[in-house]
Amino acid sequence: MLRFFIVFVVILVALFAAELTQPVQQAVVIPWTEALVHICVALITLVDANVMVFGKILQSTTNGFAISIEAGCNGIEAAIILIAAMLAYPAPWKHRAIGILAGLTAVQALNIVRVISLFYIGQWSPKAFEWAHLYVWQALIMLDVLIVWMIWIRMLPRSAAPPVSSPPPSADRGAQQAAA
Amino acid sequence: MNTQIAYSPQSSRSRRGQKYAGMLANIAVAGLLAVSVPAMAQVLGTASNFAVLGATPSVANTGPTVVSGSIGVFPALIISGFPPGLITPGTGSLRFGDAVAQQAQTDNTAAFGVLTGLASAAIPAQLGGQVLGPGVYRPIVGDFDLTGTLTLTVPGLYVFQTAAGFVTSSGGTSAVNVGGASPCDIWWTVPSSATIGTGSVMAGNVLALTSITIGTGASLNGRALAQTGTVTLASNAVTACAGGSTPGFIVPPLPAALPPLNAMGGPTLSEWAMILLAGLLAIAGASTLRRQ
Repeated sequence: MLRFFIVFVVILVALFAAELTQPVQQAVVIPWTEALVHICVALITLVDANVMVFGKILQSTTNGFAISIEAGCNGIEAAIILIAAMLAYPAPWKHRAIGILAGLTAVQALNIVRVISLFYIGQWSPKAFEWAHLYVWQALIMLDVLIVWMIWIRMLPRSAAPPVSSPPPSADRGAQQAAA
Repeated sequence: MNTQIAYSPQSSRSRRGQKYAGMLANIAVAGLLAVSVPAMAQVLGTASNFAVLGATPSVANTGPTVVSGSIGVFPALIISGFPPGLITPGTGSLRFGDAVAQQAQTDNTAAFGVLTGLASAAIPAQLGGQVLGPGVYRPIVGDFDLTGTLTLTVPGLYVFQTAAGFVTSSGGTSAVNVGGASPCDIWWTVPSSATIGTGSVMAGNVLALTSITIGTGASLNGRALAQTGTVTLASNAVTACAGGSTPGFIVPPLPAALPPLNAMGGPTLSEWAMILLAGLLAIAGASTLRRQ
Protein backbone atom coordinates (compact mmCIF):
# COMPACT_ATOMS: atom_id res chain seq x y z
CA MET A 1 0.00 0.00 0.00
CA LEU A 2 2.84 2.37 0.86
CA ARG A 3 4.54 1.43 -2.37
CA PHE A 4 1.36 2.37 -4.26
CA PHE A 5 1.27 5.79 -2.59
CA ILE A 6 4.92 6.54 -3.31
CA VAL A 7 4.83 5.33 -6.91
CA PHE A 8 1.60 7.26 -7.47
CA VAL A 9 3.09 10.52 -6.25
CA VAL A 10 6.34 10.00 -8.18
CA ILE A 11 4.53 9.27 -11.45
CA LEU A 12 2.12 12.14 -10.85
CA VAL A 13 4.94 14.62 -10.34
CA ALA A 14 6.85 13.24 -13.33
CA LEU A 15 3.84 13.47 -15.65
CA PHE A 16 2.92 16.99 -14.57
CA ALA A 17 6.54 18.07 -14.95
CA ALA A 18 6.65 16.50 -18.41
CA GLU A 19 3.43 18.25 -19.33
CA LEU A 20 5.03 21.60 -18.63
CA THR A 21 8.02 21.00 -20.90
CA GLN A 22 8.10 22.64 -24.30
CA PRO A 23 8.38 19.42 -26.36
CA VAL A 24 5.31 17.89 -24.69
CA GLN A 25 3.41 21.16 -25.03
CA GLN A 26 4.23 21.30 -28.74
CA ALA A 27 3.68 17.62 -29.43
CA VAL A 28 0.69 16.85 -27.24
CA VAL A 29 -0.96 19.67 -25.33
CA ILE A 30 -1.31 22.30 -28.05
CA PRO A 31 -2.31 19.87 -30.85
CA TRP A 32 -4.84 18.21 -28.58
CA THR A 33 -6.28 21.54 -27.48
CA GLU A 34 -6.67 22.57 -31.12
CA ALA A 35 -8.22 19.22 -31.96
CA LEU A 36 -10.63 19.66 -29.07
CA VAL A 37 -11.76 23.00 -30.51
CA HIS A 38 -12.40 21.42 -33.89
CA ILE A 39 -14.22 18.43 -32.44
CA CYS A 40 -16.46 20.71 -30.39
CA VAL A 41 -17.18 22.96 -33.35
CA ALA A 42 -17.86 20.04 -35.66
CA LEU A 43 -20.36 18.67 -33.14
CA ILE A 44 -21.97 22.07 -32.53
CA THR A 45 -22.41 22.76 -36.23
CA LEU A 46 -24.41 19.57 -36.59
CA VAL A 47 -27.26 21.33 -34.83
CA ASP A 48 -26.36 25.01 -34.80
CA ALA A 49 -24.94 27.01 -37.70
CA ASN A 50 -24.47 30.15 -35.64
CA VAL A 51 -20.92 29.52 -34.51
CA MET A 52 -17.53 30.76 -35.63
CA VAL A 53 -14.01 29.74 -34.76
CA PHE A 54 -11.00 31.99 -34.28
CA GLY A 55 -8.13 29.70 -33.46
CA LYS A 56 -9.04 28.40 -30.03
CA ILE A 57 -12.02 30.73 -29.60
CA LEU A 58 -15.57 29.64 -30.29
CA GLN A 59 -17.99 32.47 -30.82
CA SER A 60 -21.72 32.58 -31.30
CA THR A 61 -22.71 34.69 -34.28
CA THR A 62 -26.11 35.22 -32.68
CA ASN A 63 -25.07 37.13 -29.58
CA GLY A 64 -21.27 37.39 -29.70
CA PHE A 65 -20.69 35.15 -26.67
CA ALA A 66 -17.34 33.43 -26.94
CA ILE A 67 -15.34 30.85 -25.08
CA SER A 68 -11.63 30.28 -25.38
CA ILE A 69 -10.36 26.76 -24.93
CA GLU A 70 -7.03 27.15 -23.19
CA ALA A 71 -4.35 24.63 -22.31
CA GLY A 72 -5.91 23.95 -18.90
CA CYS A 73 -9.34 23.32 -20.40
CA ASN A 74 -8.44 20.19 -22.30
CA GLY A 75 -8.92 17.56 -19.62
CA ILE A 76 -5.28 16.51 -19.77
CA GLU A 77 -4.66 17.15 -16.06
CA ALA A 78 -7.56 14.94 -15.02
CA ALA A 79 -6.31 12.25 -17.38
CA ILE A 80 -2.78 12.52 -15.96
CA ILE A 81 -4.04 11.85 -12.43
CA LEU A 82 -5.93 8.79 -13.60
CA ILE A 83 -3.00 7.50 -15.64
CA ALA A 84 -0.62 7.95 -12.71
CA ALA A 85 -2.95 6.00 -10.44
CA MET A 86 -3.31 3.17 -12.95
CA LEU A 87 0.43 2.96 -13.49
CA ALA A 88 1.08 2.93 -9.75
CA TYR A 89 -1.51 0.31 -8.91
CA PRO A 90 -0.29 -3.32 -9.08
CA ALA A 91 -1.89 -4.66 -12.26
CA PRO A 92 -0.91 -6.48 -15.45
CA TRP A 93 0.30 -4.18 -18.20
CA LYS A 94 -2.48 -5.31 -20.52
CA HIS A 95 -5.08 -4.16 -18.02
CA ARG A 96 -3.22 -0.93 -17.43
CA ALA A 97 -3.25 -0.20 -21.15
CA ILE A 98 -6.95 -0.95 -21.44
CA GLY A 99 -7.69 1.14 -18.36
CA ILE A 100 -5.68 4.11 -19.59
CA LEU A 101 -7.36 3.97 -22.99
CA ALA A 102 -10.82 3.73 -21.47
CA GLY A 103 -10.00 6.45 -18.95
CA LEU A 104 -8.72 8.84 -21.60
CA THR A 105 -11.83 8.23 -23.68
CA ALA A 106 -14.16 8.77 -20.75
CA VAL A 107 -12.45 11.96 -19.56
CA GLN A 108 -12.13 13.51 -22.98
CA ALA A 109 -15.65 12.59 -24.07
CA LEU A 110 -17.07 14.20 -20.95
CA ASN A 111 -14.81 17.22 -21.44
CA ILE A 112 -16.23 17.71 -24.93
CA VAL A 113 -19.72 17.62 -23.47
CA ARG A 114 -18.54 20.11 -20.84
CA VAL A 115 -17.19 22.58 -23.40
CA ILE A 116 -20.30 22.42 -25.57
CA SER A 117 -22.64 22.72 -22.61
CA LEU A 118 -20.73 25.70 -21.23
CA PHE A 119 -20.87 27.38 -24.64
CA TYR A 120 -24.65 27.32 -24.47
CA ILE A 121 -25.02 27.88 -20.74
CA GLY A 122 -22.92 31.02 -21.09
CA GLN A 123 -25.19 32.34 -23.81
CA TRP A 124 -28.17 31.73 -21.59
CA SER A 125 -26.83 33.13 -18.31
CA PRO A 126 -23.35 34.30 -17.29
CA LYS A 127 -24.11 33.47 -13.65
CA ALA A 128 -25.19 29.95 -14.53
CA PHE A 129 -22.04 29.65 -16.57
CA GLU A 130 -19.90 30.60 -13.59
CA TRP A 131 -21.65 28.12 -11.39
CA ALA A 132 -21.49 25.31 -13.92
CA HIS A 133 -17.89 26.02 -14.81
CA LEU A 134 -16.48 26.35 -11.32
CA TYR A 135 -18.57 23.82 -9.44
CA VAL A 136 -20.80 21.47 -11.42
CA TRP A 137 -18.38 20.47 -14.15
CA GLN A 138 -15.40 20.14 -11.84
CA ALA A 139 -17.42 17.78 -9.69
CA LEU A 140 -18.64 15.83 -12.71
CA ILE A 141 -15.15 15.45 -14.16
CA MET A 142 -13.88 14.23 -10.79
CA LEU A 143 -16.78 11.82 -10.53
CA ASP A 144 -16.09 10.57 -14.04
CA VAL A 145 -12.45 9.83 -13.17
CA LEU A 146 -13.43 8.16 -9.91
CA ILE A 147 -16.00 5.94 -11.60
CA VAL A 148 -13.51 4.84 -14.24
CA TRP A 149 -10.97 4.17 -11.50
CA MET A 150 -13.35 2.09 -9.39
CA ILE A 151 -14.61 0.09 -12.36
CA TRP A 152 -11.05 -0.57 -13.47
CA ILE A 153 -9.98 -1.77 -10.04
CA ARG A 154 -12.99 -4.07 -9.79
CA MET A 155 -12.31 -5.54 -13.20
CA LEU A 156 -8.70 -6.41 -12.42
CA PRO A 157 -7.99 -10.16 -12.31
CA ARG A 158 -7.49 -11.66 -8.87
CA SER A 159 -3.93 -12.52 -9.77
CA ALA A 160 -3.22 -8.81 -9.99
CA ALA A 161 -3.60 -8.46 -6.25
CA PRO A 162 -0.38 -8.42 -4.22
CA PRO A 163 0.69 -11.69 -2.56
CA VAL A 164 -1.03 -12.35 0.73
CA SER A 165 1.32 -12.69 3.71
CA SER A 166 -0.44 -15.66 5.40
CA PRO A 167 -0.75 -19.00 3.53
CA PRO A 168 -4.18 -19.91 2.14
CA PRO A 169 -6.27 -22.34 4.18
CA SER A 170 -5.99 -26.00 3.27
CA ALA A 171 -8.77 -27.74 1.38
CA ASP A 172 -9.91 -29.53 4.53
CA ARG A 173 -10.05 -26.38 6.62
CA GLY A 174 -11.88 -24.65 3.83
CA ALA A 175 -14.44 -27.47 3.71
CA GLN A 176 -14.91 -27.31 7.48
CA GLN A 177 -15.45 -23.59 7.40
CA ALA A 178 -17.95 -23.93 4.57
CA ALA A 179 -19.85 -26.59 6.47
CA ALA A 180 -19.88 -24.48 9.61
CA MET B 1 -11.57 27.37 -20.25
CA ASN B 2 -11.62 31.10 -20.59
CA THR B 3 -14.88 32.71 -21.39
CA GLN B 4 -15.18 35.97 -23.21
CA ILE B 5 -18.24 37.87 -22.27
CA ALA B 6 -18.59 41.58 -22.29
CA TYR B 7 -20.67 41.75 -19.17
CA SER B 8 -18.70 39.56 -16.81
CA PRO B 9 -18.35 40.84 -13.25
CA GLN B 10 -14.83 42.11 -12.74
CA SER B 11 -12.98 44.66 -10.72
CA SER B 12 -12.87 48.21 -12.05
CA ARG B 13 -9.09 47.97 -12.43
CA SER B 14 -9.43 44.78 -14.43
CA ARG B 15 -12.17 46.30 -16.55
CA ARG B 16 -10.06 49.37 -17.20
CA GLY B 17 -7.12 47.23 -18.25
CA GLN B 18 -9.31 45.18 -20.53
CA LYS B 19 -10.88 48.30 -21.96
CA TYR B 20 -7.44 49.60 -22.89
CA ALA B 21 -6.51 46.19 -24.27
CA GLY B 22 -9.69 46.20 -26.32
CA MET B 23 -9.00 49.71 -27.60
CA LEU B 24 -5.47 48.76 -28.54
CA ALA B 25 -6.66 45.64 -30.31
CA ASN B 26 -9.30 47.56 -32.22
CA ILE B 27 -6.77 50.19 -33.23
CA ALA B 28 -4.40 47.46 -34.34
CA VAL B 29 -7.07 45.79 -36.46
CA ALA B 30 -8.20 49.10 -37.95
CA GLY B 31 -4.56 49.94 -38.71
CA LEU B 32 -4.05 46.58 -40.33
CA LEU B 33 -7.09 47.10 -42.53
CA ALA B 34 -6.04 50.63 -43.41
CA VAL B 35 -2.56 49.46 -44.37
CA SER B 36 -4.03 46.73 -46.52
CA VAL B 37 -6.33 49.05 -48.50
CA PRO B 38 -3.90 50.19 -51.22
CA ALA B 39 -3.01 46.62 -52.14
CA MET B 40 -6.67 45.60 -52.19
CA ALA B 41 -7.90 48.58 -54.16
CA GLN B 42 -6.04 47.30 -57.18
CA VAL B 43 -6.63 43.68 -56.47
CA LEU B 44 -8.21 42.69 -59.78
CA GLY B 45 -6.26 45.06 -61.96
CA THR B 46 -7.15 44.63 -65.62
CA ALA B 47 -9.10 41.47 -64.86
CA SER B 48 -11.88 43.72 -63.58
CA ASN B 49 -12.77 44.45 -67.24
CA PHE B 50 -13.71 40.80 -67.75
CA ALA B 51 -16.96 39.21 -66.78
CA VAL B 52 -15.68 35.82 -67.88
CA LEU B 53 -12.05 34.80 -68.06
CA GLY B 54 -10.84 31.29 -68.79
CA ALA B 55 -7.48 29.63 -69.40
CA THR B 56 -7.42 26.29 -71.11
CA PRO B 57 -8.76 24.62 -73.15
CA SER B 58 -11.50 27.19 -73.73
CA VAL B 59 -14.41 29.27 -72.62
CA ALA B 60 -17.43 27.28 -73.76
CA ASN B 61 -21.01 28.37 -73.96
CA THR B 62 -24.27 26.76 -74.97
CA GLY B 63 -27.57 28.58 -75.30
CA PRO B 64 -28.51 32.24 -75.25
CA THR B 65 -26.10 33.44 -72.58
CA VAL B 66 -25.92 37.19 -72.09
CA VAL B 67 -22.70 38.62 -70.72
CA SER B 68 -22.15 42.21 -69.69
CA GLY B 69 -18.42 42.74 -69.82
CA SER B 70 -15.56 41.22 -71.76
CA ILE B 71 -14.97 37.52 -72.24
CA GLY B 72 -11.38 36.39 -72.48
CA VAL B 73 -9.26 33.29 -72.63
CA PHE B 74 -5.52 32.80 -72.15
CA PRO B 75 -3.34 30.86 -72.95
CA ALA B 76 -5.92 28.96 -75.02
CA LEU B 77 -7.47 30.66 -78.04
CA ILE B 78 -10.97 29.21 -78.06
CA ILE B 79 -14.18 30.90 -77.02
CA SER B 80 -17.10 28.88 -78.30
CA GLY B 81 -20.84 29.51 -78.31
CA PHE B 82 -20.85 33.24 -79.06
CA PRO B 83 -23.30 33.38 -80.77
CA PRO B 84 -25.81 32.16 -79.73
CA GLY B 85 -24.40 33.80 -76.63
CA LEU B 86 -23.84 37.52 -76.85
CA ILE B 87 -22.11 40.37 -75.11
CA THR B 88 -24.30 43.29 -74.21
CA PRO B 89 -23.29 45.96 -76.73
CA GLY B 90 -20.85 48.51 -75.40
CA THR B 91 -19.87 46.51 -72.34
CA GLY B 92 -16.97 44.47 -73.64
CA SER B 93 -15.44 42.27 -76.30
CA LEU B 94 -14.11 38.80 -76.94
CA ARG B 95 -10.40 38.41 -76.24
CA PHE B 96 -8.77 35.28 -77.71
CA GLY B 97 -5.41 34.68 -76.07
CA ASP B 98 -4.11 38.16 -76.70
CA ALA B 99 -1.95 40.42 -74.55
CA VAL B 100 -4.99 41.93 -72.86
CA ALA B 101 -6.28 38.52 -71.82
CA GLN B 102 -2.78 37.51 -70.76
CA GLN B 103 -2.43 40.56 -68.52
CA ALA B 104 -5.87 39.93 -67.10
CA GLN B 105 -4.87 36.36 -66.22
CA THR B 106 -1.71 37.65 -64.54
CA ASP B 107 -3.77 40.12 -62.50
CA ASN B 108 -6.34 37.42 -61.74
CA THR B 109 -3.60 35.16 -60.35
CA ALA B 110 -2.23 37.99 -58.22
CA ALA B 111 -5.69 38.83 -56.90
CA PHE B 112 -6.25 35.21 -55.96
CA GLY B 113 -3.04 35.28 -53.95
CA VAL B 114 -4.02 38.48 -52.14
CA LEU B 115 -7.49 37.24 -51.29
CA THR B 116 -6.45 33.80 -50.11
CA GLY B 117 -3.81 35.40 -47.92
CA LEU B 118 -6.32 37.36 -45.84
CA ALA B 119 -6.83 36.23 -42.26
CA SER B 120 -10.24 34.68 -41.90
CA ALA B 121 -12.84 33.49 -39.44
CA ALA B 122 -14.17 29.94 -39.65
CA ILE B 123 -17.90 29.49 -40.15
CA PRO B 124 -20.05 26.47 -40.98
CA ALA B 125 -19.46 25.23 -44.50
CA GLN B 126 -23.14 25.30 -45.40
CA LEU B 127 -23.80 28.91 -46.27
CA GLY B 128 -27.51 28.46 -46.91
CA GLY B 129 -29.49 30.08 -44.14
CA GLN B 130 -26.60 32.09 -42.76
CA VAL B 131 -26.81 35.84 -42.23
CA LEU B 132 -23.39 37.44 -42.32
CA GLY B 133 -21.86 40.85 -41.94
CA PRO B 134 -18.69 41.98 -43.68
CA GLY B 135 -15.71 39.77 -43.04
CA VAL B 136 -13.32 37.20 -44.40
CA TYR B 137 -14.61 33.70 -43.93
CA ARG B 138 -13.43 30.15 -44.36
CA PRO B 139 -15.28 26.89 -43.69
CA ILE B 140 -14.76 25.20 -40.36
CA VAL B 141 -14.64 21.82 -42.06
CA GLY B 142 -14.69 20.92 -45.77
CA ASP B 143 -15.74 23.23 -48.57
CA PHE B 144 -18.29 25.99 -48.77
CA ASP B 145 -21.62 24.82 -50.11
CA LEU B 146 -24.62 26.99 -50.81
CA THR B 147 -28.03 25.36 -50.60
CA GLY B 148 -30.65 27.94 -49.79
CA THR B 149 -30.08 31.62 -49.35
CA LEU B 150 -27.01 33.33 -47.97
CA THR B 151 -27.89 36.79 -46.71
CA LEU B 152 -25.32 39.55 -46.50
CA THR B 153 -26.43 42.32 -44.23
CA VAL B 154 -24.64 45.58 -44.89
CA PRO B 155 -22.18 47.13 -47.34
CA GLY B 156 -18.63 46.00 -46.86
CA LEU B 157 -16.07 43.50 -47.92
CA TYR B 158 -17.05 39.84 -47.99
CA VAL B 159 -14.43 37.25 -48.84
CA PHE B 160 -15.25 33.55 -48.80
CA GLN B 161 -12.16 31.37 -48.87
CA THR B 162 -13.29 27.82 -49.53
CA ALA B 163 -10.89 24.98 -48.83
CA ALA B 164 -10.99 23.32 -52.25
CA GLY B 165 -14.18 23.38 -54.33
CA PHE B 166 -17.36 25.40 -54.15
CA VAL B 167 -20.82 24.26 -55.14
CA THR B 168 -24.22 25.87 -55.14
CA SER B 169 -27.25 23.64 -55.33
CA SER B 170 -29.19 23.10 -58.52
CA GLY B 171 -32.80 23.71 -59.39
CA GLY B 172 -32.91 27.34 -58.43
CA THR B 173 -32.59 26.55 -54.77
CA SER B 174 -29.57 28.67 -53.98
CA ALA B 175 -29.11 32.39 -53.91
CA VAL B 176 -26.98 35.13 -52.44
CA ASN B 177 -29.11 37.89 -51.03
CA VAL B 178 -26.64 40.75 -51.15
CA GLY B 179 -28.70 43.01 -48.93
CA GLY B 180 -26.93 46.33 -48.90
CA ALA B 181 -23.65 44.91 -50.16
CA SER B 182 -22.29 45.48 -53.64
CA PRO B 183 -21.66 42.29 -55.63
CA CYS B 184 -18.30 43.84 -56.49
CA ASP B 185 -17.32 43.57 -52.84
CA ILE B 186 -18.13 39.88 -52.62
CA TRP B 187 -15.28 37.51 -53.38
CA TRP B 188 -15.14 33.76 -53.68
CA THR B 189 -11.70 32.17 -53.74
CA VAL B 190 -11.83 28.58 -54.90
CA PRO B 191 -8.54 26.64 -54.89
CA SER B 192 -10.10 23.97 -57.11
CA SER B 193 -13.26 24.25 -59.23
CA ALA B 194 -16.53 26.10 -58.70
CA THR B 195 -19.92 24.85 -59.81
CA ILE B 196 -22.85 27.24 -59.83
CA GLY B 197 -25.92 25.02 -59.90
CA THR B 198 -28.71 25.39 -62.42
CA GLY B 199 -30.98 28.30 -61.69
CA SER B 200 -28.78 29.69 -58.94
CA VAL B 201 -28.79 33.41 -58.28
CA MET B 202 -25.17 34.05 -57.52
CA ALA B 203 -23.36 37.26 -56.65
CA GLY B 204 -19.72 38.13 -56.39
CA ASN B 205 -16.42 37.57 -58.09
CA VAL B 206 -15.65 33.88 -58.37
CA LEU B 207 -11.90 33.33 -58.60
CA ALA B 208 -11.20 29.66 -59.20
CA LEU B 209 -7.80 28.11 -59.53
CA THR B 210 -9.09 25.49 -61.96
CA SER B 211 -12.46 25.77 -63.67
CA ILE B 212 -15.88 27.33 -63.27
CA THR B 213 -19.12 25.76 -64.44
CA ILE B 214 -22.28 27.84 -64.43
CA GLY B 215 -25.35 25.63 -64.75
CA THR B 216 -28.25 26.22 -67.09
CA GLY B 217 -30.27 29.30 -66.30
CA ALA B 218 -28.07 30.44 -63.43
CA SER B 219 -27.20 34.08 -63.09
CA LEU B 220 -24.01 35.62 -61.80
CA ASN B 221 -23.82 39.25 -60.81
CA GLY B 222 -20.07 39.42 -60.61
CA ARG B 223 -17.27 37.70 -62.47
CA ALA B 224 -16.22 34.18 -63.33
CA LEU B 225 -12.43 34.11 -63.47
CA ALA B 226 -10.70 30.75 -63.90
CA GLN B 227 -6.91 30.66 -63.70
CA THR B 228 -5.97 27.38 -65.32
CA GLY B 229 -9.14 25.69 -66.56
CA THR B 230 -12.24 26.36 -68.54
CA VAL B 231 -15.31 28.44 -67.89
CA THR B 232 -18.47 26.67 -68.99
CA LEU B 233 -21.65 28.66 -69.55
CA ALA B 234 -25.18 27.52 -70.40
CA SER B 235 -27.95 30.03 -71.01
CA ASN B 236 -26.78 32.32 -68.25
CA ALA B 237 -26.83 35.97 -67.40
CA VAL B 238 -23.38 37.09 -66.31
CA THR B 239 -23.00 40.72 -65.40
CA ALA B 240 -19.62 42.16 -64.53
CA CYS B 241 -20.56 43.98 -61.41
CA ALA B 242 -20.40 47.70 -61.16
CA GLY B 243 -20.25 49.75 -58.02
CA GLY B 244 -18.56 49.04 -54.77
CA SER B 245 -15.17 50.69 -54.76
CA THR B 246 -13.90 49.96 -58.25
CA PRO B 247 -12.57 47.49 -58.95
CA GLY B 248 -14.12 45.94 -55.99
CA PHE B 249 -12.95 46.78 -52.54
CA ILE B 250 -14.24 49.14 -49.94
CA VAL B 251 -12.76 49.25 -46.50
CA PRO B 252 -14.74 46.91 -44.32
CA PRO B 253 -15.62 47.82 -40.79
CA LEU B 254 -14.04 45.75 -38.08
CA PRO B 255 -14.59 42.11 -38.92
CA ALA B 256 -18.00 41.09 -37.72
CA ALA B 257 -16.38 38.11 -36.16
CA LEU B 258 -13.90 39.98 -33.97
CA PRO B 259 -14.47 38.45 -30.58
CA PRO B 260 -14.99 40.56 -27.50
CA LEU B 261 -11.81 40.97 -25.55
CA ASN B 262 -12.89 40.77 -21.94
CA ALA B 263 -11.84 37.47 -20.51
CA MET B 264 -12.26 35.47 -17.37
CA GLY B 265 -12.04 31.80 -16.67
CA GLY B 266 -10.58 28.78 -14.98
CA PRO B 267 -9.30 25.35 -15.93
CA THR B 268 -11.14 22.05 -16.20
CA LEU B 269 -9.98 21.27 -12.68
CA SER B 270 -8.63 23.84 -10.25
CA GLU B 271 -5.45 23.08 -8.29
CA TRP B 272 -7.48 22.09 -5.24
CA ALA B 273 -9.75 19.90 -7.33
CA MET B 274 -6.73 18.10 -8.74
CA ILE B 275 -5.30 17.54 -5.27
CA LEU B 276 -8.68 16.30 -4.07
CA LEU B 277 -9.03 13.98 -7.04
CA ALA B 278 -5.54 12.56 -6.58
CA GLY B 279 -6.32 12.04 -2.89
CA LEU B 280 -9.59 10.27 -3.63
CA LEU B 281 -7.94 7.95 -6.17
CA ALA B 282 -5.16 7.19 -3.71
CA ILE B 283 -7.61 6.43 -0.88
CA ALA B 284 -9.80 4.26 -3.11
CA GLY B 285 -6.78 2.40 -4.43
CA ALA B 286 -5.24 1.95 -1.01
CA SER B 287 -8.45 0.69 0.55
CA THR B 288 -8.86 -1.84 -2.25
CA LEU B 289 -5.30 -3.02 -1.77
CA ARG B 290 -5.88 -3.31 1.96
CA ARG B 291 -9.02 -5.40 1.48
CA GLN B 292 -7.14 -7.74 -0.82
